Amino acid sequence: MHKTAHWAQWVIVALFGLYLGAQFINAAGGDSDRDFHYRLFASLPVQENGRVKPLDTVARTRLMLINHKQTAKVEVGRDDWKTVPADKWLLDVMSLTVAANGNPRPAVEYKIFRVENEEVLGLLHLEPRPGSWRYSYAEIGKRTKELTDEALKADEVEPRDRTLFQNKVLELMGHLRMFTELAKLEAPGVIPAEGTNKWASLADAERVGQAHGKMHPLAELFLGMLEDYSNGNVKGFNEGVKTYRAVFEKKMPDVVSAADTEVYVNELAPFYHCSVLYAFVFVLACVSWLGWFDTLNRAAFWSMVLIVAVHTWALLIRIYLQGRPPVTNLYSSAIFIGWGCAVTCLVFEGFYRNSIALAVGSATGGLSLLIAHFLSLDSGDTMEMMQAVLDTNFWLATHVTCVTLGYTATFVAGFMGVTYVLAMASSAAMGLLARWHVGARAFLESPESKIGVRGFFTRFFDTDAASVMGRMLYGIVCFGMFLSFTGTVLGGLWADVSWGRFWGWDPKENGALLIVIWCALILHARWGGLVKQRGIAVLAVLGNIVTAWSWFGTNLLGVGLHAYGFMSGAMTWLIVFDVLMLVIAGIGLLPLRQWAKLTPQTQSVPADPVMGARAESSPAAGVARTIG
Amino acid sequence: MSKSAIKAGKPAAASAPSTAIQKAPAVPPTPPRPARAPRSAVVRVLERVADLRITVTLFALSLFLVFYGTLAQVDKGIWIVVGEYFRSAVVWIPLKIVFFRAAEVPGAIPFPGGWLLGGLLLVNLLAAHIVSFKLSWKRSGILLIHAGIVIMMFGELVTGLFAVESHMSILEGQSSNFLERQDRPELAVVDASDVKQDHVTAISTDRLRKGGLIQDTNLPFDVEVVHYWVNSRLVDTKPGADNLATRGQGLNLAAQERPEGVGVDTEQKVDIASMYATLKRKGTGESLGTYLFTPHLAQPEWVEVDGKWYQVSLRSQRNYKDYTFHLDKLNVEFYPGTQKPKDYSSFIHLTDPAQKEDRDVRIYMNHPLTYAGATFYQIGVHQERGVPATTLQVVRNPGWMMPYLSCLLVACGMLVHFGQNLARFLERRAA
Repeated sequence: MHKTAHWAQWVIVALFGLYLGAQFINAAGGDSDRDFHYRLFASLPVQENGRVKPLDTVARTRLMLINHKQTAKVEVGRDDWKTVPADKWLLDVMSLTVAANGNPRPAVEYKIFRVENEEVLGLLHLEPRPGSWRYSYAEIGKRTKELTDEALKADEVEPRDRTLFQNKVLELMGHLRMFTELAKLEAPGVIPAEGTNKWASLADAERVGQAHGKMHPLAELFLGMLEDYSNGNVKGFNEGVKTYRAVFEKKMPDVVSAADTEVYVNELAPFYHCSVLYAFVFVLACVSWLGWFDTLNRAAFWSMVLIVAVHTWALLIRIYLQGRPPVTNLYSSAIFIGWGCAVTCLVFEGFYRNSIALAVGSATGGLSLLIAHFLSLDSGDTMEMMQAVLDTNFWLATHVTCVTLGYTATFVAGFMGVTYVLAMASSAAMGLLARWHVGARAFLESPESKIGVRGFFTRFFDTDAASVMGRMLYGIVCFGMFLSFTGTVLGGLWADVSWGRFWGWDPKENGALLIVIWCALILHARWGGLVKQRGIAVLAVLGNIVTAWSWFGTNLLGVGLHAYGFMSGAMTWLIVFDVLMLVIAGIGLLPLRQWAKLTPQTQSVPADPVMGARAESSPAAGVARTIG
Repeated sequence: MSKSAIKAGKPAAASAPSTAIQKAPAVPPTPPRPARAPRSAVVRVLERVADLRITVTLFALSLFLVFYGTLAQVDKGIWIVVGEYFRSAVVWIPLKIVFFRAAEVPGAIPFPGGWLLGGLLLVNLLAAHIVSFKLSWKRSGILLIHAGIVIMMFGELVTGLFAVESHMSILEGQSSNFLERQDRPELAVVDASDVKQDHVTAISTDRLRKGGLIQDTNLPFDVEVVHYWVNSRLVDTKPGADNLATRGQGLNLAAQERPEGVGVDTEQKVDIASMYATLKRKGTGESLGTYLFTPHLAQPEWVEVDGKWYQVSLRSQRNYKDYTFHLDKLNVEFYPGTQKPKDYSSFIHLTDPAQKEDRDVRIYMNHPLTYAGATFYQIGVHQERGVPATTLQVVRNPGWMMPYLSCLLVACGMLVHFGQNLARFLERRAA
């Protein structure tokens, strides 16, 4: 209908593509020969917490845990801050003890330690620093004795009886330990030792070297690099890194290439960019209801395809690096749920072009990636090793994947329900406005108005769109039922194989069971004719509460009263989310008749039931007609 | 318009899946189909019982039961909760739990327990199938699913009634021929004066927890329970501090009460009980001393009554077997540089003279051994006086097969049923 539609839609898609392409190229950027080869150094493989990973990951995860950012900040002048990337920070910290006297020691000046608790600040004789709340090692190090004493006392108290102060002291001690471990070269493991799968740290190597009079050549090389670095010897350092890397390339080429890939993905941060772009798709989808539907809908659809492709690629990279099925911990479940929601909604949008599935998919995809981001602040390395009993790819691939896909399905249903209710409500609100105010009515019905009487949220939310959504909801709940039931039962079988108990009624199992019961309830209520379209929508909205509980709530139960960090915040967010869902469900429960009264009839939608029924049988045509 | 148009859209949507069990066609729910012949009273009652409204209500109640049964695990051990909430007809749920633990409210309300809800759901389901039993391709999926669910529910019932979980603990290089119920410590009084056989009298956990004076003709003395703690730890006695014990090892070591392990603990550990008890001479009630008994102590207390010596100890309930497990080697592997276990393996030599069994087996994570009607799972490792020891979980569950069977039926049923729905949907789109 619009000549401009085609090229405009591709322009938008191209913008998305350009943004993503720029990120991919940017992340590949190498080192400059004039400066230290930070990137090359950061790609060296080391071992930490049982996993071989590049130094880059060590630096980023430690900074993430300590500072909640992947960078460090240092004050270079009065109120003049410089941001330092993780790799440089790591080099500064690791060369702290190697640095010859007189050389600058920037590592102790980085303001990375968060101290917000006033009691802890009092203990350390520090002034509150609102805004950043960050302190340097040099500042805190003056009072380590007092801090250690308090930590020892706190350690004797049972975890669930600890006060907030004690928790904060232990938290800070943990962060200091992460720092000093690196500074004293006690972590990570740097030298692959023969005969054992534990890599020796530089500190270990030095001890062994002193005992035997001869140091491991790799350790010597590494310490040489650190010395060159602290002396500002760019050439020496770069040569050292190259030689060191060459040793590994010869001995374990797979490890080196995996480490390179991991550094690339770290730098790229694909999940971050995906979450930003999902937000843009969401906006596009919403705007498409106001006007230029064809152009914006198609643009949003193909942009979404692009983002999902990147999301998928990043998931596959994680699978390759970890050698495991996609879901291994809470963080990866968030990423996977986001992916599942986006893919499911793309399929739905393929069936029904009405931007509804696009809006739902981009919202859920973006939100779960945001949650994943917050989870990574607490967990550090997101590819941690698994407990012995969980160490089986078969059950991870079947049970965990199934259950997580079940969450995905119920979340998609839930957010579809939210859209349904909000669209209905906005239609009713517009109707109300038009009914009470003649001027508003004239405006809303005028051809220039992109809003239309039918609703601000969606002009297309008529009977056809409603029944399309009803059908999508029903289908997705069926899928949810199937996946969560299968997943839960597989979990039971795994438990039976592992410790002889098919069902133990533990919180996590119960959470999964709740989803199954909830889906069964929705389906039986529908089969019994107890609920219709709107009823299912409302039930699906409430299902969000059940799923959120199963996914997150059960993890919060074990957390004590004085918990801190993201997980205690998560409890608050969970409650906020639940209340929000209850409110939306409440709106959905307003009597339909009242809504009907509020919504005046318009030309664009046929009033007679026959037309409605016909539209039901061919929804795509129905929507197309309304658009036209 | 919305009203009439939306209504018009519904029959098509609702009738598609109405292959499900229903007492009557879905739309309209009432009145019943007029063309039918008058039905018997039995059928009418069954139809009432089979009402899907009842199903949905029962689902909703189950939902709350499971949720409250999870919340309750914040304060109580998992098995106590399972007994109270899921394997019971009625549960008194504390109001504190009812209000999501947000407020400390005294009191409790009755709520249908797991067995009652399960039973009602079963009746409801069977009635529905009796009322509208029809063997057809269209309904076969539903039939399979429900058959599977029924088997699963029975499986849980059988497990709840008959399954027994116990443990076998073996030190490296040593043997064991008995199973222990660690959750059920008993006070054992052993008379070892007979050279051929020990004579053991044991007081059960339930009796000990009740407290008070315990008298029995088989006991050489009366036992007065001073304190019984379900979970405890041992500390050194401080000189000058009050000590309940007047004799035995309790003079040097004191027990402290610890909170019972709760279901949501991240590390599930077995509670270790402790008790202080005064032993009294029969008839006269003269005190033979107040002792500390606990499985924490490796050695029994030796008590003399009328020149005869008895070994008294609080130990796990034991169940002796014909077979013997010898732990040749215990393999424990951690991820390098961490405390995360990578592998636990017990290399066991199994001997059973009655069955002429004499062989080596390896029991490790996810690879249990099934022998003599019980299944042995690698559950943990620990150190006992410096010697590594393995703990095997031993489960005897006559209903172990049922979940597998049920799972198979339901999976097939769902594939058939939802597959039919999907096919219909695609057909309609193609048309």
